[in-house]
Amino acid sequence: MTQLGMVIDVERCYGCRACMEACKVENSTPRGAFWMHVFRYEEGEHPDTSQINMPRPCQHCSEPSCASACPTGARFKREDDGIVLTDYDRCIGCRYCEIGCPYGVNYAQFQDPEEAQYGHGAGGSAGDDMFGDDSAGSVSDELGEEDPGTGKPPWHDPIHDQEFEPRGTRMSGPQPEGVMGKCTFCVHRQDADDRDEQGTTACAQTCPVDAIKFGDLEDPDSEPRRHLREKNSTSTFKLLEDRGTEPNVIYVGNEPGEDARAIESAETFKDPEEAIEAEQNPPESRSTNVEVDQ
Amino acid sequence: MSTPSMPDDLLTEPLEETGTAYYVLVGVAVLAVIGMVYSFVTMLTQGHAVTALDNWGTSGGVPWGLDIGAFSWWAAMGVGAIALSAIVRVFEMDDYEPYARIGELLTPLAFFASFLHVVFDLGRPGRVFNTIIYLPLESPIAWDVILLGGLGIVSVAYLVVSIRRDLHDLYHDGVLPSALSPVYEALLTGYDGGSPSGRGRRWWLAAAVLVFIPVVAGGLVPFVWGPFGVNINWFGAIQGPTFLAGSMTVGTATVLLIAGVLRFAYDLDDVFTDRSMRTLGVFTGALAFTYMLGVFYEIQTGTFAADMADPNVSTLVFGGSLAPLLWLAIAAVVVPTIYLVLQQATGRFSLAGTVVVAAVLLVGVLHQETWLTVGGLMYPDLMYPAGEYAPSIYEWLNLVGTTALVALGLLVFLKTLPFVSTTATDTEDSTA
Repeated sequence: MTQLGMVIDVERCYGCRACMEACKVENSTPRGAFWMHVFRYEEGEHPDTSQINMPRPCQHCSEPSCASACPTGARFKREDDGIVLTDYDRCIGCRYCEIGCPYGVNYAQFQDPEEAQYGHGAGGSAGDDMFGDDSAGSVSDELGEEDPGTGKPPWHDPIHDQEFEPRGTRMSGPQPEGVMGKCTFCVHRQDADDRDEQGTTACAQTCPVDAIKFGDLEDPDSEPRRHLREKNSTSTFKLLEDRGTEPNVIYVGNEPGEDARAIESAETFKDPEEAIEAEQNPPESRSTNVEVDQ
Repeated sequence: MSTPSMPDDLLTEPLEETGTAYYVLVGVAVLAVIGMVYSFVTMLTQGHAVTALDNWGTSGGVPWGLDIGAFSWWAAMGVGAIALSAIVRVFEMDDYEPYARIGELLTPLAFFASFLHVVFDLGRPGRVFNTIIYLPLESPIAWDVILLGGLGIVSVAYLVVSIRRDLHDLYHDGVLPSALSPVYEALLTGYDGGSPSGRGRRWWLAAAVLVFIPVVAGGLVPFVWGPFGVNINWFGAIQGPTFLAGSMTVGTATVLLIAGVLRFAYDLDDVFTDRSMRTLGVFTGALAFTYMLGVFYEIQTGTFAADMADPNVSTLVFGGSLAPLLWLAIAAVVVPTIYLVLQQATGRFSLAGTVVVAAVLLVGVLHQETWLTVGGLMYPDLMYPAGEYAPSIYEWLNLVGTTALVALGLLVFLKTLPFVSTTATDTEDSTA
């Protein structure tokens, strides 16, 4: 039996958040949705403090409470590889999975996915419509695409339009409005015909310090299991293990202590509406004009 | 107990007399329902982004709010109203027969309002019946759907069975609107006027309801699923008894409120007597007290919160921005409780006072249910920001709309069905 999972080396991670960016590009998630998130926190008392960074994908639990909570079976655990997926065609958007999950990895799509995308509404001022319509100066034109304006915006990767097993329904990429979405362990890669794609995720592939090891946790020769053996003198932990969810993301390093405190404030995580407003009307404090004394 | 004896014209007055106030109430209710439709259409076309809801975690939101609080409240009202009615029928408390009728008429409307709030809250309301089509039987929620849906169906059957005798009499007396004759004929199919021996279907249905309700109200589901380990923290412990006490509180308070309004509108002092209203009031107060105890236990143990909550969630909610709202909710339950109990203790009665405190009590429980839902989702255990939530205008429109819809339903029933019971003893009605 296969159980895909991750070993994340917290001792290696330096908080560059390239994994978050890679996930966004790969899965075209909208503003405000971070299928991969990096907790950046501080421990200890001044001056003896340390900063730790802990990436947080979906834990793809062996006993997923989100799936237990789902009243339609839209959230389910795929038997073949243990990935926890959302059936976009069945989900009713009740958000029970989000309530049932203790990890905060679920995102309801509260508005039209296109309107929630980065750059939406940015056209006009510079003439660069981010959504590839037929207007002059569109991104499609800039990129020299042969068939611009096909109705698919640049952020829309057709790979996510495919239907996935075992149900033959949509389960990857940005979810439709009113539906739940979360990290899929890049299921489109796992199911790809290209064998080089299989067994990889965007976040693991992008990590500059190779802190994220992805593979079959049941296979002793898999990369994550090998990494665990290599660092067998280092402590490991799983997030909120006491909840009985049996997560399949194993962290190498010290578990966040009682005094761990997030470095970012709530303001860091702007909601999509605020982000759109900030993009369109940047505050003066963001001005890049610098006067240089000659 | 004795059978209340009322002049027929008094009991049929609501069917025959229609004053200006009735039309004003209908007009206001229709306007509020239109507001609700506007809100729903807006949410359908623009998404839930127009509401104050957002994802917890990195978005720092709260994913459930007023609609879920209102859903719980209406479901509680349906459960409580039908339970009250069943108690009256099973124990043959004839003096309270008119209250039982109100409960029967209220129950299907309350369940419908509850269902509407679920629909409003769904990201994909058009897929609401996926819960039936794909019902995952291993999910405890699926069983809640089955049991609550079952109770909804039973409530309609119970309503039909219990009004048939009165309906038969009024229909043949020509009191009911002739335009609805096909409906009345359908409702009276197979009814032969009743025979005076044995316990009728109504009694047995009422008894079934009384057995069924503790199961629905959080009893069996947590008992069976609790040992399975994985849960979402809301199944078991004190939740079941608290919901049952809250249901009875909301159900009886609403019946009390409606009875008070009917008594005022149609001078039904001999139907809804000082004594019976006072007694029902103290019953409501006792249930409200039990509900509050359950709520305190939930808060004390932190079980009101979802599984994602900080272990110190109880301290956080008491010390956080929601604390004043908590105390307001407690006051809105406790003050009416004291008033209703004092009425009984002193032997005094005020119709206006009873109606007002019943309304305050209802708002208090709604407030409490919403507060418990939101508060339990505000403080994550992991290092996310605390959630923020204040209901949007659309969520308020939904709530006002469902309240108006239930009121409108009751106003329609008032003119089309035997709203004030003309019968008392169930033993006379074996074939109803």
